[in-house]
Amino acid sequence: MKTEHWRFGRSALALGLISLIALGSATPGVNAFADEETKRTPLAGEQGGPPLGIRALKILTVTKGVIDNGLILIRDGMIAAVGTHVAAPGDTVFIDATDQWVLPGMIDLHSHIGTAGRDINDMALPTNPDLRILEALDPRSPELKDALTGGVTTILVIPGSGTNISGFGALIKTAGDTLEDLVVRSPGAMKVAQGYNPERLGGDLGLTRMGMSWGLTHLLDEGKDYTDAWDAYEAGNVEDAPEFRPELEQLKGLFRKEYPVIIHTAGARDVMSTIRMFNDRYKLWTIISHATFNGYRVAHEAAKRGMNINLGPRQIDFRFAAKGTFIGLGAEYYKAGVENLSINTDAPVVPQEDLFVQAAMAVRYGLDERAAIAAVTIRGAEAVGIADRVGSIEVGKEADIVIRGGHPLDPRSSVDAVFIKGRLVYRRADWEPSEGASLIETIPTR
Amino acid sequence: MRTRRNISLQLCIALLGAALIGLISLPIQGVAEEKDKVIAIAAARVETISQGSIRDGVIIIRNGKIAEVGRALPIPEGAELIDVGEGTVIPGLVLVASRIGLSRSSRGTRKSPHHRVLDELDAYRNTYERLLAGGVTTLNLMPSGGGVMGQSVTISARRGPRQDVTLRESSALFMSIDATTSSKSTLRGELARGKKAIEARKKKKEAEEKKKQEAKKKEKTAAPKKKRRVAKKKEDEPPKPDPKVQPLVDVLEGNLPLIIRCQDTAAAAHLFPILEEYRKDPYKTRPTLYATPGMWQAVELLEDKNVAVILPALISYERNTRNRVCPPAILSAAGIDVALIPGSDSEEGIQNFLLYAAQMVKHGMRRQDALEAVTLTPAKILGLDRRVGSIEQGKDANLVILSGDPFHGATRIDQVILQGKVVHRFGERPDTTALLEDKTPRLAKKTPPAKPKPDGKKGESESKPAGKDKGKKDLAKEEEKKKKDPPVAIVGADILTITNGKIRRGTIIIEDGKIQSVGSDLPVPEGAKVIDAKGLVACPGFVAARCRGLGIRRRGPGGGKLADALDPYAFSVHLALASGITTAFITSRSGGSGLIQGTSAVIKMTEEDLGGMLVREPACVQIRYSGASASAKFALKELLRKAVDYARKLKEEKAKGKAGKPPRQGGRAAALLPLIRGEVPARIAASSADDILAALELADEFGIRLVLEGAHESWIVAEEISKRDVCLVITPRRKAHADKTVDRPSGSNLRMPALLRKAGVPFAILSPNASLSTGGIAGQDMVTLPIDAAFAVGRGLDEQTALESITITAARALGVADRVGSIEPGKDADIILLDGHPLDYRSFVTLAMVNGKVYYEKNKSPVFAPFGRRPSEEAAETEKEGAVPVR
Repeated sequence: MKTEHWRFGRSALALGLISLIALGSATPGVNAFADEETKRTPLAGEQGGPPLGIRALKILTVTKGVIDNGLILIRDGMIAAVGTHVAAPGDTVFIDATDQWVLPGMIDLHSHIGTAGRDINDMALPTNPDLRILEALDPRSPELKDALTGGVTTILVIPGSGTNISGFGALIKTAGDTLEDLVVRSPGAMKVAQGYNPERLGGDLGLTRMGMSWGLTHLLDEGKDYTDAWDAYEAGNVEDAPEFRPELEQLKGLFRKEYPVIIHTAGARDVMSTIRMFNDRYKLWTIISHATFNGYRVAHEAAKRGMNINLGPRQIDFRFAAKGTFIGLGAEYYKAGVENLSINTDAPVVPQEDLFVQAAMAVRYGLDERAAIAAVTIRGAEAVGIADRVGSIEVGKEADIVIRGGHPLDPRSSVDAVFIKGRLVYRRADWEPSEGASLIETIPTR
Repeated sequence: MRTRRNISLQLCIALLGAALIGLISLPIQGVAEEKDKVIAIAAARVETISQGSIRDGVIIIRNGKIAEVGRALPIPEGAELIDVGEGTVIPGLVLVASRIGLSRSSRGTRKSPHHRVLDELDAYRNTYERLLAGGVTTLNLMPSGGGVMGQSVTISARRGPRQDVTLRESSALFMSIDATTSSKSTLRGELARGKKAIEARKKKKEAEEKKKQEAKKKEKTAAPKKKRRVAKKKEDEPPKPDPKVQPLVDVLEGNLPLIIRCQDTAAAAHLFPILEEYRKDPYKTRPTLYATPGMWQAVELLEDKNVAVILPALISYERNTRNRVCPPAILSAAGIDVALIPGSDSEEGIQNFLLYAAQMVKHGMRRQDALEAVTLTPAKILGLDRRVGSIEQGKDANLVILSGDPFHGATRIDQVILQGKVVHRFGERPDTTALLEDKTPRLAKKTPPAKPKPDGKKGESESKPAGKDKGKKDLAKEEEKKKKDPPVAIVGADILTITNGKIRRGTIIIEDGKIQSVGSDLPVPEGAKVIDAKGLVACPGFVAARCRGLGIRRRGPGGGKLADALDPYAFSVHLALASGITTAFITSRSGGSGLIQGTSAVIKMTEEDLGGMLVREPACVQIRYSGASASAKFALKELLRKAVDYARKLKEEKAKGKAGKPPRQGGRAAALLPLIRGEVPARIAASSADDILAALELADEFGIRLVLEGAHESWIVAEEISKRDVCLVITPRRKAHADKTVDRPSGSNLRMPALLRKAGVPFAILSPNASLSTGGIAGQDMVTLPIDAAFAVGRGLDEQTALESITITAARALGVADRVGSIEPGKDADIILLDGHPLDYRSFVTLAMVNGKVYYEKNKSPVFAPFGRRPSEEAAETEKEGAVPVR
C-alpha cells in the first residue's frame, strides 16, 4: 500500500515538474536574466571576429606535449592552429604572452556552484530521476566569475548528495550571458549518492546501505525495462507504444549511454559496491566521484575495469591510515593503474577557483605532475565524453584557454587571462583596474 | 542496580549464615589448634618476587606468617603439607587502586583531604572475599571524585570486623589533576594549606625552643620545682592536628603516600611543577601517578622524576595510528616502577587480574616487571611492602597457588592462602570464615592500627613509603644537565634570514638555544653538533598569526587559562612542527564578558616539553566589535574609559610613592591594563571598510594598538590604516563579493597584499582554514601555510614581503618579534630546514628546531615520511622551479 502511494505521489510530482519545464521552454529564454545587449561586434577570436593569436613562452597542450615559444591561432572560437611555425592571417590580433604559460581551460566534474542559494537537494524522496540542476542554475552567479579567476572553464554542476538520486547535472562553461550560452550538455550526468550523506535519518527506507541499494536497484531496474521497451518499440519490434512515464524519461539516455552516471561514493566498501552496481550489473557509463577515505584500497578493481575515478575534494587521507602517515590518494589510484583519474573540488567545499590547488596538492602528496595536470583538464573531458570539444590545446577544439604567469599548479603564478570559445572572459585587469593590463591591452575587455 | 541488589541479598544470606554458625558455636579449642598449625607448601616453582624464583621451593607457614622459604627445605613434623606438584606459588596479588564494592564515583572537584574511604567500607559483605578467586589478597580502596579526593584504605580480601579486615586505615592521600586552571588551583590551594600549617608549626616550635632556652636561663635563678611544672604543662597540651590539614602535612613531609590521578598525559606535565613548588624534596618519598594508558608518551618526562606509575593493564595505540603499544612495557623498560590494575574495575575485571597482566607480558612487558607490577610494586606504593607483596620470611602468608605459569592463559588458580589459611580452592566459592575469630558481626577488640605519626615514626610492621635512592644513573643525568648543551651548527643550507637577505650555503651557529651567528664562511666551534643541511633551505620557523585547536588538551581550557590547558603531547603540536610552524597564537572563546572575549596566548612547539611552550598569556585583548549593538559598544567604551582612568590613577599613586593599596576601581577595568599600557594589542575581526574604520576610531580614542583580522576591504582604506600602529591578519585567497548597493569600491581584491604593501601596511597571512587539519582536504589549512603567502605572490606581492607575512610580520602581530621570526644573532633558534623554497607547494619541512633543540625530523616521523623531493630533484631545484616537463 505504502509503495503505491509513494509511486503515485512521485508520478504526480514528476508530471507537475515536466509541465513546468515545458511551460518554461515555451516562453522565450529559459533564463530570466537574458542579456539586453544581444547584438555586438564580435571581437578577435570570437565567432565571426578576426583571428586571435596568442604567443606564449610555453604551451601546455596536455595531449601533445609542451611547445616552447609557440603560437595558438584561434578562429571563430575554435583552435585553428598550434605550433612554433604557424602562419597567421594578416588581420590576426596578437596577444603577447611570451613570458607566460598557456594551458587549456580546466575542467571540474564535481561542482555545485552557480546554483543560487545552494538549491541542490530535494529531500522528500530518496530517488529523484526526474529532476535536473538546470532549474537551479544562475548564469549571473558571482561564483562562476570566481571560477574564472582560477582558470576553470568547464564544470559539471550536479545536485545532491542528500538523496540517492538527486537528479541530473549539467555540463556548463563558467562564462556566458544566458543559460543557453553556458550549457555544454544537459543532462550532463545523473547524480547518485551512495553511503554517508544520503542516509535517511528520518527512519524510512534508506536508513541503511541495504535500503539505499534496494531503492537504487529498484529504480534502475524500472529504468532499464522502460528503456528496453521504448528501444524495442522504436526499432519497430513492438507495435504498441509503451506507457509514457515522465519520471523515467531521463533514464533512457543513461541506458543508451548518451551520458554517464556520476556517483558520490567513498571508502573501500562503498566504492566497491558502486563498481558492482553501476559498472558490473547495469553496465552504465560510470564516473566514481570522491573515492576518498580508504577507497584507494579497491583502486586495482577500478583499474581492472578501466573505470573513471573523479577524486576529491579530499586529496589525502589520515583518518583511515593505520600507520600515522598521510596517504596521497591521487598517487595511490595512479599507482594502481587507474588511467582516467580526474580531480575535483566539490565546490564550494573547496572553492572552485582552487581546482589547480587540488592538483598541486595531489602532486605534493606523490602524484605524477603530468597526471595531475591531465586530471584537471583532459581526463575530466574524457570521463564525461566531451574530449572532442575541450580539455586540451588541439586543432579543432573549442578555444578555452588560460594564460598564466608560470607553472599552472603553482600558486605563485598568476592567472592572467581566460578565454572561453576564443572570447576573453577574464583578465587580471578586471580585478585591479589600475595596473597590469598591458599584456593584453590589444583586446578591449567587457 | 541488579548487581547492587544481588550483593545486598548475598550479604543478608552471609549474615544469616554467620549468625547460624554462631548459634551452633565452634569449639574454642579447635580455633586454638588451627592457630598453631604449621603449613608447608612444596611447589615446583616459587616466585618470591623479591628474591627471584626458587625451583622445588618449600614455604613454611606459622601463625599466618611466612616462617621460612627456600629450596627443598625439610618439612617440619606435624605440619600440614600442601604439595602443589608442578604448580607455581606466587604472592597474593595487591590491587593498588579500586572502587569495587563502593558507591559509584561522584564528579566534581573537592577539597577533602579528610575524607576517608574507611568510613564507606562495609567490611562484612563478601564482595572482597569473592576477589580471592582471582588471586587478589590485598586491596586499596580509593576515594571518589576529583580535586583532593581523600584517604584510601587498604584491606585484606576478606570479611570481618572492619578493624580486622583493614591493613592500614589511611594508606594514601588521593588527588586528581586535570589540565585546567580550576583543577590546578584546587591542588595548589590545598598544598599551600598544608605548607602553611607546616610553617606555622615550625614557628611555634621555634618559639617554644626560645621559651625553653629562656626558661633554662631563668633556671639558674629560679627554683627548680617551678620550672618542672611549666615543662609538664607544655607536655600536657599536644598540638591538636586539624584533620582537614594533617593529611596534607603528612603528604608534604613524605609521611603519607601520595597518589595523583592524572586525567590525561597533559595533566601529568602540569602536575610536576606544582609538586616541585610545594614539596620540599618532591621526589624523595616517591609520589605515584595513577595514569591513563596514554601516559607512555611521557616516558622521558617520567624518567627524570622519581615517581611510580599505576597503569591499567590495557593496550594503547601510537598517536593517530593503529600501531599497538603496551604502555606498562614501555614505562617499566625505562626503569619506572609500574603497578598494574585490571583493565576494568569490576568484579570480573579483578578476578581476571592475572590474565590482564598476562596480556601485558604478551605485548612485551618483562615477566619479572609484570609480576612485580601486581605484587611488590603496589605494596611499596602503599608502604606495605614489609607485610605483603612478596614471599619472604616474616611477611603475611598470602599466597596464590597456580597450576602452571602465572602468565599462561590456561593456568588455574588452584588455591589461595590468606594469612595462613586456605580461603579458596578452584571451583569453590572463596570463604574467609576461617579467619573470623567470632562469626557474629561485632566490633574488633583489637585497637585499630595506628595512623602514621606526623613525625614519621611508624610501627615495626610498616615501612615508610619506599623512596628509591637516586642511583648513579640519576646523578650522572643531573651532572649532564648541568653541563651546557654543546653548540649546534647548521652547515650548508641556503639561508633565508628574512631580515638580512639570503645567504647561499651559509652556516648558522647556535648556543644555549639562541642564534649566535649567521654567515657564509663561519668556523664551526669545537665540539659543536653539526647538522648537515647541504641542498636544503633554512628559514625561520613559521609564525601562525592564529591557529585553532593547537597545543591544547582535547576538551579545551574549560573557561580557565590557556597556560593551564596546554598539551605538549597533542598531535597538533607535532603536525605544526611538520608543517614548519614553531610559534603560534591561540585563543579560547570561553570566558570574558561583554564584547571582550576569552583569553589568548602565544605558544611555541616544544613537543613533549610543557615548560617551553608558553611564551605569553594574554597575548591580546579580543574584542568582538564589528557588528555589535550600539549599547554593547557603548558599554565597551565605558569600560575602556574606566581602564584608562585606572591606569592614570595607578601612575599617579606610583608617582606619589604610595606603593600600598591600589585604587579601589579594578575588576574588569584592571584586566584591560595591559591593553591601555600598550603591552598587548586589541584584536578585532573587521571585514568591511566601515568596520575597519570603526575599529581604527576606537584605537585612536583610547590609544591602543590594533591587530585587525579578516580585513577583506582593507585595500580600500589602506592609507588610513597605514597612519597607525596597526597590523593586519589576512587571507589573500578568501573572497568577498562586491556589495553592489554601495557607491564605492567593495569586496575583496586579489591584489590586496600588493596594495597593502604599497601603502606600507604590515600584514600577516593565514590559511582559509586557520587550523591544522587531518580531515583530508589539502591546501586549505595551516599545514600548507606558505602556499597562502605564495598566492599573494601570484597576485603581485614581492616574495620577500610574502615570506615576512608568515615569519617576522606575524611575530610582530603577536608581539614576539624580538624573539622569533628571523634568523638573526640573539634570537631564539627556531629554525626549519626545507627540501625546497618555502613558498613552493612541493616543499616539505625536513627538520624543525625550537630554542636550538631539534623537535622534528621528517624521516623519523611517520607523518610525511613518504613525500618530498628525492635527492636528484633537490639538486636540480634550489632556485625557483623552472621547466618541469609536461607531456
